Amino acid sequence: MSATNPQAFAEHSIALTLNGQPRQLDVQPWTTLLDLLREQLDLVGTKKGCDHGQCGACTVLRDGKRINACLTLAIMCDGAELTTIEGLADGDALHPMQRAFIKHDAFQCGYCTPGQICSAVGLAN
Amino acid sequence: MNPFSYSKPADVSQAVNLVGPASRFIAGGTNLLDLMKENIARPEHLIDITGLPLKEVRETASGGLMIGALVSNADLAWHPLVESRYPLLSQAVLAGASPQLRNMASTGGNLLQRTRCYYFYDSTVPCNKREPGSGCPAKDGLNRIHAILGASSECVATHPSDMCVALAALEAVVHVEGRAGKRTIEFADFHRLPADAPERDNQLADDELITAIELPSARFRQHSHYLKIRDRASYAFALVSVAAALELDGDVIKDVRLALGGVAHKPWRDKAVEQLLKGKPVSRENFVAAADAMLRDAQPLEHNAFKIKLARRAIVRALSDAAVGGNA
Repeated sequence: MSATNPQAFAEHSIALTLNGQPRQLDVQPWTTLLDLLREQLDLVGTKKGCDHGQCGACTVLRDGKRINACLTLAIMCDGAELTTIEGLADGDALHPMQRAFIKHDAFQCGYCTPGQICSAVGLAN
Repeated sequence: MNPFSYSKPADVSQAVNLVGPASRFIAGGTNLLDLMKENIARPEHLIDITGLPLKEVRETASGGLMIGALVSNADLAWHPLVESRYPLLSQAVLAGASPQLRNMASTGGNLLQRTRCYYFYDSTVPCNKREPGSGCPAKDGLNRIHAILGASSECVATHPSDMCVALAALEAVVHVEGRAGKRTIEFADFHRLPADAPERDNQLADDELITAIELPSARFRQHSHYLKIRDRASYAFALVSVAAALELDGDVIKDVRLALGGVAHKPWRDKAVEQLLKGKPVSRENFVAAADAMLRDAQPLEHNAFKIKLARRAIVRALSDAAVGGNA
């Protein structure tokens, strides 16, 4: 377990369900869920705002509950069921919360809207 | 964040046997990962304890509750037995953080939050809590949010938790396990005052893990109130908070608990002040006397003298609200 042993830093394999799809992923221990989504999986709907759990722009749903992806290690999501903004719509049919945001013009600049929508879905869950 | 290795033990004894000098336990991670991103915490190994069987809330034989260390802050606050018997605790938990963070943060981890002192978080300046012996810029710096009670010349930081203020008032007991076995720590003894070793926030040994928080049987469910005063109404740490709980016989105070947050290195309780109130009737005059006694030894810094006045008023209001029900 020594930090000087490069083997100790090997990637770990995790299995999770992401937006309804089972995924098998190799992650480094220090990769956050947010960086995994954006950098490795190109799911850039989830936004990096403060990166310190304060702004909520990175909010996603883990097992139906809203969490900050920036303060979550990807490796600790082994076995989890994750939903990001990309996973809310059913094909071309937007999630009711997405439709409500559009109907009521609930945007500011829009950057943190995905986080706001996931947070609102978490609230409604 | 520095690179680190990772392991996920399946039971508590495995977990405490994995502990080495540069390792840390991680559960919710809401404070630890933040500190790691700021390079304040630099563990070489993380021990993920989320696989341990510490997620239950159950009633104890003595009529209290045993809360597993991994119960999330959200699950704790909304647990039917906590809401109905310990509304003070539910209120305090819900006064802290955001819904996202409360879904992640654990009960045990809440106790281990580090201070939000700006200087502790800024690795470009000295801080006795971060680098023992380096100095304390907060003492003569921007110290609006800092301690008015129990501080030392080495450290004027405050403990940030809301939950812990309620747990102090409720006389919770902390169950811990280390390589030498299990032990319990009275809540009042769990956190430390800074004295000459502000780098130590609490009494846990390096290999010890919090496994549960035990609440004694509920006696204050009808008359308790958690009052949190902060710069904005949501998602801010307390400038001053008060956990007040009363057991009344008519309008006579049979028993009382009073704990303050945001004013010291640990939740601040003073049994002598509670003693003052016992046997007395509920009255503004008696509450003011208690507040004055609670703050008799308060020492303001340059920018936080307002906290003394604020705490005095908050104590009177929290006790008054508790007396009339107060669980709103």
